[in-house]
Amino acid sequence: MSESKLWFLFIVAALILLVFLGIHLGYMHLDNILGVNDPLDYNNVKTRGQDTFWLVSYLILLVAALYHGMYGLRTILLEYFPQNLKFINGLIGIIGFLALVLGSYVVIYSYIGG
Amino acid sequence: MKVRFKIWRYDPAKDVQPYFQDYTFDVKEGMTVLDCLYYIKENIDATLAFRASCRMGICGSCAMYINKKPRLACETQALSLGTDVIEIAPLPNYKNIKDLVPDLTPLFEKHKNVKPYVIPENEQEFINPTGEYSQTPAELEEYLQFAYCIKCGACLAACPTVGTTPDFPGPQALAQAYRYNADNRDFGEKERKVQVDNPKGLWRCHMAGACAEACPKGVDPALAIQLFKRSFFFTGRKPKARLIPLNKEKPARGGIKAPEPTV
Repeated sequence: MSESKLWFLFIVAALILLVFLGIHLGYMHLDNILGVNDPLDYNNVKTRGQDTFWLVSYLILLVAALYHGMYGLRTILLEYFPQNLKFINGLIGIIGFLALVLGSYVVIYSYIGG
Repeated sequence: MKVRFKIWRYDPAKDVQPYFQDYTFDVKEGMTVLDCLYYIKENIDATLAFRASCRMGICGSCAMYINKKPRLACETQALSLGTDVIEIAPLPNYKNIKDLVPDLTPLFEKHKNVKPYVIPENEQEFINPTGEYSQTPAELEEYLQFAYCIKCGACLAACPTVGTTPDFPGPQALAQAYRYNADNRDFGEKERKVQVDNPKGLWRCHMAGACAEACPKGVDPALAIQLFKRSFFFTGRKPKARLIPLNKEKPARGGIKAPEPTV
């Protein structure tokens, strides 16, 4: 994929983050204002995990945050090691993929009642 | 006012390492840093090497690192720096040839790589012109500020990305690529985009904005880079420059006569 497309996705991911991170932070930290009953309570976390809206939201948030973060990390690493493009691309790809698998596993496992 | 000049000295033929040499003398009001350098060369130390030409901020030859900032020596008033110690070094991010003379080869190579000239739609028209291309003031405004670049190299000296990635085209070349892309007589946008759309190209700029601060001519290369990035995804319809055939359009009777064609 060309650099311009990678950068474009990075910006798109940022816009997605604005929305979904906003929802996440709002729900978690404005609980008193929104009238949410203790969002960190075990039963509430479990109920939320089994809700399709939260499943989709968290998966989108996960993909967007991972892509945005990994692209940023790649840029920083390339700044320090400009000659190691292939190695950095590989490293970022592997770390990103593993984090995606782990994150998806947690979200989906919660959804199916784990 | 007595001013102490700390000047970078380096002669690759005899010096292992560069060092700073001090020169102290009375600086009169109105003297630029370039005037001071000439004063040193003519009255104190004839071996001092620096590059200068027009003395009026047009040629860009005398860009130097004056008190830790890239500036044109001919446009910097020595007393306006507000200190009695002035440190002068060659521009960073370039190889040092001698004393205050940087090797600007990478600047010109990078500039050349982005095809900094109008690439015509019809090559024949540029070889054997049959008329002039008209451009409205609004169309001129699209690129005018970027056309003020004098290629002094100050922006590359200020750019942190050039400091870590010497292959990065840098603000000067990228701004000039955008300048020609924004020109409605030009049809070379695709070629220039191919040239910079790589891991060490346009996307390495992380908007430190130091280039815009450093430019002695008020050009904003950081803005050009952002507009260039945007043009990859939001390509507005560029109005084509109109070709006015020579001697075909006569001014209206009693109207103001247009200037003579230049081609």
